[in-house]
Amino acid sequence: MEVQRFRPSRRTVMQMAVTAVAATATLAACSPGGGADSTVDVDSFGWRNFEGKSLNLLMSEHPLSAAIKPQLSDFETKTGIKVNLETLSEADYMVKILTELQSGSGAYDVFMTSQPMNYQYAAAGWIEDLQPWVDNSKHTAPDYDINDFFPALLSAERWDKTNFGGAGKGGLWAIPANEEGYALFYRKDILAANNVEVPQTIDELIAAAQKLNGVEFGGKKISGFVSRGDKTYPTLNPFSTFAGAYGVKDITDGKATVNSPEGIEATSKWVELMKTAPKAASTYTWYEAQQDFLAGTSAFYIDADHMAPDFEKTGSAIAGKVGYALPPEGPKGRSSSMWLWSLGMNSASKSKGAAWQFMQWATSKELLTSAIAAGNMNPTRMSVANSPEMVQATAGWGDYNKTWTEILSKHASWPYSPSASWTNAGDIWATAIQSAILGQASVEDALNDAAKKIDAVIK
Amino acid sequence: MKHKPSLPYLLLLPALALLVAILYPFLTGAWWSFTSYRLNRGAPVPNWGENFLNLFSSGEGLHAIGITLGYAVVVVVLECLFGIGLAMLLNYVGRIGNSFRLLIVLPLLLPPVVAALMWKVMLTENGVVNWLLEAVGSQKLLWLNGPDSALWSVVLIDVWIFTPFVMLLAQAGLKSVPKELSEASAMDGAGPVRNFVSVTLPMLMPVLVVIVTFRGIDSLKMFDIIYTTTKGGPVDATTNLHVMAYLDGIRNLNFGAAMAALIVLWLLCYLISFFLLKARRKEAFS
Amino acid sequence: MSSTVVESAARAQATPTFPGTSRRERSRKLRRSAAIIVLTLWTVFALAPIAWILLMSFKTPGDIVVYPPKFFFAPTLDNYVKVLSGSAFMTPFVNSLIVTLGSLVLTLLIGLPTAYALARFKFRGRENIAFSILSLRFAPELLIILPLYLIFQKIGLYDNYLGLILAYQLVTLPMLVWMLRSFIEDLPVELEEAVAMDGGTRWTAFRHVLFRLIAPGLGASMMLSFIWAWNSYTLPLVLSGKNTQVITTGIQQYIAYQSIDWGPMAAATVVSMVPGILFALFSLRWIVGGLTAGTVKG
Repeated sequence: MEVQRFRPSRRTVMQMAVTAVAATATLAACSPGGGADSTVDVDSFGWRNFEGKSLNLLMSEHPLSAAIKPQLSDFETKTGIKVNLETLSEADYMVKILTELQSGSGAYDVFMTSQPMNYQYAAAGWIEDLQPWVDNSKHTAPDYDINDFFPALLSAERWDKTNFGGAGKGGLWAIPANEEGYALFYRKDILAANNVEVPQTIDELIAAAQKLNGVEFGGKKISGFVSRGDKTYPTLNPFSTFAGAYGVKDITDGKATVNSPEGIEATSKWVELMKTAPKAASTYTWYEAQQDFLAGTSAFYIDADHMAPDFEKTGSAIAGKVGYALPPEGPKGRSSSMWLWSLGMNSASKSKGAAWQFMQWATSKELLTSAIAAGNMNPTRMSVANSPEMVQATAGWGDYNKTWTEILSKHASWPYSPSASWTNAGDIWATAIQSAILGQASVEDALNDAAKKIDAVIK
Repeated sequence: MKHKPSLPYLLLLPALALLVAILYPFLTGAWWSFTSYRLNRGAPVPNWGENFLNLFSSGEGLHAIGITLGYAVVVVVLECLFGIGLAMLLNYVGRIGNSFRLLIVLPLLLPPVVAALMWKVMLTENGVVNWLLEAVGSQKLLWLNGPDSALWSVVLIDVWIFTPFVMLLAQAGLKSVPKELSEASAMDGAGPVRNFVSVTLPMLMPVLVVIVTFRGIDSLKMFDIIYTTTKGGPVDATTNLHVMAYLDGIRNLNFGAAMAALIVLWLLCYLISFFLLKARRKEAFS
Repeated sequence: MSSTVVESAARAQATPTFPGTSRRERSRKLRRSAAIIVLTLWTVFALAPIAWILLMSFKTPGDIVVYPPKFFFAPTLDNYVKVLSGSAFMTPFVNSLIVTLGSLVLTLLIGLPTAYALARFKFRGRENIAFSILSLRFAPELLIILPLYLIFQKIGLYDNYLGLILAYQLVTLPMLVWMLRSFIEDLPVELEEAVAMDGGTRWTAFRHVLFRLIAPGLGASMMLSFIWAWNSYTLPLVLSGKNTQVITTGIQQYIAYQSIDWGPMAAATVVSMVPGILFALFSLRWIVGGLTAGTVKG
């Protein structure tokens, strides 16, 4: 037998191409009119206005969805709307929601989002501007009380779609349901045993971490500090405490300024501090960092303030031993990023009226209050934050309540530039910080290189 | 045997239908690779070869291609060595091999993404592996967290999962090697190595080509293990084409560039299988 | 390949082994022990991480997150109770069973005739077709999932068993076809011709002779198809919805924001391995017994 060659004949290729084109045409022909809004005209607000509709929700595994899940049947009874909730791990969720939104199929009506996601999605027109819905008294419950949300949070959900500007203005892209600011956690017992005061400034923190690094405590070798070092933009959240304290801006007038003198200084300080963390921390995500802290091997830790429930839960090795402090001070004062898990509406949804009802219910005072028990420890409504339930849930957590509310009211903001391509810039910045911590490049070289790459992305 | 000329095509019909069905999504992806498609900035606009040019002219692109190829070669060589070795040992020891085989196959039964997650926990700074190392007096290692060790750690996980794959197929292939032949050659005074090269290996060739082809394709395309453990890091130490495409496409919505990386990956798979299988045909019928 | 080799192979099965001299016997025993030691070492390497997961599945959260790691602890069944009661994991588990077995059946239905045709007939475009089937496996999933999602949404295959079963053919079919083709080609065509001479049809020849002889290959490739379908991740992540979620994403539901539920995740992982182990027990026997006439009923 002769050796056969893998050479499709020209005719075969043509036939395949024709079939493909025909298939495309057929598919295009049977697609629905696209984005048709079925906002039924209702006369006045009523929870049963959308009886008989059904909603599909996509969320990630999170205290927010965990709080909603067991109460869905209440919503179904209240409204007569059928709800399907699908939850995935966060990484899986990101893939799924992106696939759904870009397809424009409207298969999911409501989903979880955050500011960087808002920018990506709003620029594409995938996410519904909620301001008209909030303003429409025929669709919004009279007791919804949007002004009960912390103003800073609502402002962080607004963007007028101007690249690198327009934050806090324009459309309202999502309703905040969970807030995180970034706090300094410390081990009260380790500090006391070594006569170390709670550090107030960045320099004090570095000195204290260096002093505690390597000491023995409770039979364990302690590392001075731990935090995230992963190469993706969420690492910029804990780092924001340093960036903000030195007044670093990611992008100024359309050019990357991560390598400004203050950028280099803030990063150098962060690298110095991360040198007192386990070597592996340069690749930690929040998870590994948290595990180290939970295992009781780190003295200081900077991350989301609402990690407290994990520290304090029964069986935890560090319950009752954690102190909660404000982010350390730098030349420009104290600062923290602010991350909002929020609910957004698919602009391709075919039941927007019902979807908006669900969003109101899921961010109502009642539901957010019950969410405290599910671990949503940073309420987004002022009334809930000051509720007796909150005080009761955090009793015995030391300064937790005082600290997180102070961070939120005085220091927290979204410090980065809104833009459809911000996540890309953020990843580049985080990678540069990682490479500096690993010692693969000097801080200056790493940041200069990052600035060049960011400029290429945002041009 | 005689048959109607249409019979083979009839038998192939379902498979061909599947082939045609997959053409549309594939061609769509391929088309996007020639556009500057950013998912959140309107319809794809053709920029023709620019994505490919960027890929081949940038340090990152070439680095990712290098990692892709290096990873595939190392993984396939190691797994073939271990897998065939284990298969021969299993055959050699007889019945008791059956129990060994079931145990050795177990890692294959874990979803790679879960296996990778578990390994990540075990290999972390204060994980059980480092604890064992310290217990025997060695130093803790950085494993997945070290710029120099991350790639090898991922290789370790890959070898752990997929060596049984090679072993299973090789064992099925070895079944067709007649014992008589190797025993005859052993009687002639041939050592085990010569015996392997002159008797076993040629008989194993058809299966081996299939093994190398499939392991080759899958390791070129490796994503689950790498992304779960390192996200392509530290920095870019484990960023292969597939991980790069994921970062570009899913994280940063830059689908044009991502699809270009995937098309290059597809071509690599295509070329490698093409030459491997061509070699097999030649060998089988010469 | 010549047919004499295969005939002698068939005969070899019946030939008793040569009685060796005592010296050869001793060195053979030594080599056998060495072989068993090497196999044991690899088995330890293969099992250690799984044993660790198994331990974890019996631990309370406090026992999991500690340094130094705990090997002795008061075991709890809480994690299994959590996983096995309620639908959070059991629904994906049952879905995975349905989709995986469905894919296997479909893969066999499509794959066997395809492999047979490619191995036994000469016709125009044969190699092109064979290679195209292999090429189903080349395309990285990321390349096709966005368009595929849209199509599935439009023709109603999204969140649908049939849709997943069809999509899974991308991972299971190429392997089965290429494995079986290579096995069928290696068998002498004379065997089938003998059946045909006795008045049998091509179908009877296939059923009585070929099917039995390709059993090792069939066993191995069924096993691997099962594994690939069971462990498939990206395709079902995107193409399945709430009703058809499978275990690969189901296990990861225990990775929540700001905390990972390791205990239930480990328990879910252990449970998810059970069908694979059962399937392996069943199909691995084929791989061994396949060539030995009579052990496999046609």
